[in-house]
Amino acid sequence: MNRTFAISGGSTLIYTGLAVLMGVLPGIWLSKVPPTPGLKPLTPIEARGRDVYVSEGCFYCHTQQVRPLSGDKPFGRPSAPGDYAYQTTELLGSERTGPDLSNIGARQSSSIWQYIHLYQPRAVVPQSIMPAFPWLFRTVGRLPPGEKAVPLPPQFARGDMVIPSDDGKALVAYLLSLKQPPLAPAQTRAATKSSSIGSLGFDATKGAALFADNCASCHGAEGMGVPGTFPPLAGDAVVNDANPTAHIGAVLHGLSGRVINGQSYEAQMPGFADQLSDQQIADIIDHERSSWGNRGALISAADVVAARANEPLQKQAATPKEALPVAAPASTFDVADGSKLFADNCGVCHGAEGKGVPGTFPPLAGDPVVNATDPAEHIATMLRGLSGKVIDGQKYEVEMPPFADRLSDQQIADIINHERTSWGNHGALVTPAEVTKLRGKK
Amino acid sequence: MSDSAAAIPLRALPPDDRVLARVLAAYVASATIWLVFATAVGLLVSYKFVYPDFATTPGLSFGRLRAIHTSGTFYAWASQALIGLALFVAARSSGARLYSERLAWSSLALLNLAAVLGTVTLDLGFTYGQEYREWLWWIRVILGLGLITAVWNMIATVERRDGEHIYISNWYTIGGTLWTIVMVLVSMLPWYQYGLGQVAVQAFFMHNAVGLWFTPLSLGVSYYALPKLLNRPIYSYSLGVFAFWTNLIFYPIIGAHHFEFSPLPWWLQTTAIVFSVAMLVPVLSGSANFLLTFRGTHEWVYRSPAVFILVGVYGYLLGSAQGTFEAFRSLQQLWHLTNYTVGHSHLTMYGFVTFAIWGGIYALLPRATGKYPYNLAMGIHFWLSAVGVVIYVAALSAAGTIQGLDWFRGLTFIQSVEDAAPYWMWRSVGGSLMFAGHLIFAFNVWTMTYGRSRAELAKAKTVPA
Repeated sequence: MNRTFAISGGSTLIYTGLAVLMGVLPGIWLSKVPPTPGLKPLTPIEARGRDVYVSEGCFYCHTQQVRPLSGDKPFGRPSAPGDYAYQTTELLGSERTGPDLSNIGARQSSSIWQYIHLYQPRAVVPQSIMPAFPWLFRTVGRLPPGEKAVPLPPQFARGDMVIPSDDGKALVAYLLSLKQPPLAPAQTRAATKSSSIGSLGFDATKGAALFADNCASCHGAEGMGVPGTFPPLAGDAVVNDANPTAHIGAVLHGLSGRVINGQSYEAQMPGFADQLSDQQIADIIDHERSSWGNRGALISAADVVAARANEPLQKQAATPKEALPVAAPASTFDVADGSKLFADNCGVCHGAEGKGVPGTFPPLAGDPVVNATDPAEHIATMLRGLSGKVIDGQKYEVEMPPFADRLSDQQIADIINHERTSWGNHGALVTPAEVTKLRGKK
Repeated sequence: MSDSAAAIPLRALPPDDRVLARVLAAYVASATIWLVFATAVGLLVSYKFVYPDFATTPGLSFGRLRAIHTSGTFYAWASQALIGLALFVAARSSGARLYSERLAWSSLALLNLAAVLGTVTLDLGFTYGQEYREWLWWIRVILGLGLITAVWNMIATVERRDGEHIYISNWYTIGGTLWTIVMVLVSMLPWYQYGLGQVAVQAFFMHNAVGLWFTPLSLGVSYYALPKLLNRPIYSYSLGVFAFWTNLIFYPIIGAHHFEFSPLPWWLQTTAIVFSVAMLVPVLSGSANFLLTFRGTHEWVYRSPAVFILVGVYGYLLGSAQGTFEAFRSLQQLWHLTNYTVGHSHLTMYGFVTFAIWGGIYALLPRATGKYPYNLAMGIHFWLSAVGVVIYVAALSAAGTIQGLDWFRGLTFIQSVEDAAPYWMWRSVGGSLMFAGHLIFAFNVWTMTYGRSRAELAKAKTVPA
C-alpha cells in the first residue's frame, strides 16, 4: 500500500504542482492582458462569423500570429499580447498551410473577393489548395430583394445566381474585422518612413526582430521591463535623449548597479559590442527609440562606430523629421521591386500574368488606361481605387481598394511601371513625383 | 532490488486467466476498429491536399475531418489499446487476477461512447476549437471518467500483488493515467482561459497530451512486453526509474515551445526551450535502456514481434531528439508552422507510440488468448507500415523545409504552396502504405482473438531457448 501510494500519489502531486505552475498560473495572469489600444470587440455578426471560422476548422491552416521574423512581414506588424484580448477560443494556430489572417481585413478588404474565394478559391487563386465552402452560399433563381449575387467567373457559376447564406455573410464580416490596430503612433510613423529614411539604414522589422532576440527576454517585448529587476525602456530618459551617446554606450558595454528613477537595478546587463554589428546595434537602438511611445532621435551605424572608438559624436543624430528630405531621389524604376510589389498587392485579383478573371477582375494586359501616355488615370486608380466601371463592354462590380494609405509614392510608381512594361504593355513610365502630385489633388 | 524486480515478468507459466484474455481481446479489437477508421479519414484528408475539390460537402470537409483523424487516433485507437495492455500488464506483472472485469468493461464503454460522440459532433461542426482537445467539454468528461475507472482498476489490481515490489511498467501506466486525468481537468476548467491565457493553457496541454499520456503508457507496456519477448530482464531497472522521474519533472514545462515567437511571454518560451534540452535526459536514458536490452539479439529479433518495439524505440529516440532540436529558436524560425511539424508528430505518434503498441499487442495478446498471428502477415504489416511512415516523414520534412525557406526568402505565399505540392503527393503515397498495413494488422488481430489461427506451432519455434 505504501509503495503504491508513494509512486502514484507522489508523482501525481508533483504533476499537479507543475500543471498549476505552467498551465493555470500563466493562464490566470495572461487572461488579464488588456486589449491593444484601438482594438474593437466583435459585433454580434462578427462573433457569429468567428463561430463559423472555428467550426469549419479554418485555424488548422491559417494562423493568426505574426512573428517578428522577416518571413512574416507580409502579414502585418508582429502580433502583440493585447491583440488577443477579445479572442476566446484563441486562434493562433500551429500550422500555416494558408497565409496568416491577423490583418486580412486590411490586406484584402474586398468583401466580393472574399465571397468568390470562399465559394471557390481556385476562381481567384488558381494554385490554391484551400477547400471550397459552397455550403456557406445559396443558389437562387431570382435575387431576393436587397441581395447581391456573388459575381462568379462564368466557368464556376454554372448559370445560377449565388448569394451568401447568413453564415457566409457572418464569416466574411469576421474576416474583414481582422485588422491589426497600430501599436503606438510613434512606431507606425517610423515604420512607414522606414523606406524613405534609407540613408539612416533603419529597418523597423529588423530592429524589432533583433530586439526580440537580444533584449526582450529582460526588457520585455513591450519595453516594460520587470519591476525592480530589469528597467523599462518605454519612457526612459536615456532612450529618449536627443544625444544617443549614453544609449549606445549601454548597449555596447553593458551596465550594472545603476539607479534609474530612484530604483536601483542590481542585475547586470551584458555588453553587445562583440556579438552585434554596428548596423544591428543601430537597428536595435532605433527600434527602442521609436517604439512604445518613445521619441528619441534616430541614429546610424556610423554613430555606433564612433561610439566604439570612444569619439564624441559629431552630429547629434538627425531627428526623423530632418531625415526625411534625404529620401525621394530621382525616379529610378527597380524592376524587381515592382514585380514583387505587384505580386503582393495586385496579383491576387489581376493575376500574376495580368490576365484578371473574366467577368470579375479586369485584365491589365492590353488595357487602354495602362497603355495610355498620360498616366494620370492609372495613378488615380491606384491611389483611390475603382468600382462599377465598364471596360470593353464588360461591367466590373468588384470594388478595387485604394492604395493611397498603404503604399508610398515610390512603391506605387514601381507597381505602375511594372504593369506598364509587362505582358506586352507599352505605357509611358511614371515617377514618384507624379504620384505625389496626384496624391495632393482631390 | 533490481534483480528480483526485473525477474518478475519472466514467470514461466502465466496463470490461465480467461477474464484477462477476454478483456484484452476486446480492448485491442475495439482499438483496431478505430485505427482503421481514423486512418482512413487521415488518408482521405491527405488526398484533399492533392485534389482540393474532391468530396466538397460539410461532413467530408478538411476542417472537420482533420480533428476526427487526430482525436480518433489519439483518444480512441492509442488510448484504448494502451489501457487494455496496461490492465493486462498490471495483472500479469503482479501475478494477480484483474481487480474487476465489470470496471474494465465500463472503461471500454465510456471510452467508446466518448469517441463516438466526439466523432459525430465534430463532423456536425461542434468543436471546442483547440487542437487535440476539440471534443466538447461534456464529451471530455466522459473520456475522463473512462480514465478514472481504468486507473482505479489498475491500482486495485496491482494492490493484489504478493510482494512489496511494484514492477516498473505499472509506475509508468498508473502514473501516466493519473497525470492525464489532472491534465484533462486543467484543460477543461474555463476560468483562466481567456485570450492569451488560453494560449498558455493550450501550450501546456498540447504537449502534455502526448508526453504524459502516450509516452509513459507506451514505455510502460514496452518495459513488460520486451523482456517477455526476449526472455531476458530489462538492462537496467534503475535507469527506468530515473527516466520515469525526469520525464515527469521536465515534460510539463516544455509546452510553450509550440508558440515560439508568439506574443506569449518571452521567458515562458525560453524556459520551454531549456527544458526541451533537458528532455534529452529521460529520452536518452529510456532508449539506451531498451537498446541495451536488445544487445546481441539481432540474429532472430527480426523474426519476432520485438522488431516492432525496436522501431518504436528508434522512433522515440529520433522523434524526441528532433523535438529538442526543433525547439531551438534558430531552427524554429525555419520550421515552425510548416509541414515539418506534421512530419514530426507522425514520427512520434506513429513511429514511436503506434509501433510500440503493435509490439505490445503481438507480444501479449497471443499469450492471453493462445492464438498466434501468421508470421508472414505480421511481416507484411511491419514492412508496409515502416516503409510508409518513412516516406511520409521524409516527404513532409522536405515540404516543411522548402516552405520555411520560401517564406524566409520573401517569396509570395502561394509560391510555398506550389513548391510543397509534389511532396504532399508523396505523403499520400506513404499514407496509403500505412493504411494498407493497418488492414493487415486488423486481420492479424482477428486471428489472435476471435478467428481461428493455425500459426501457434510455427510461432513457438521463434522463441529462443
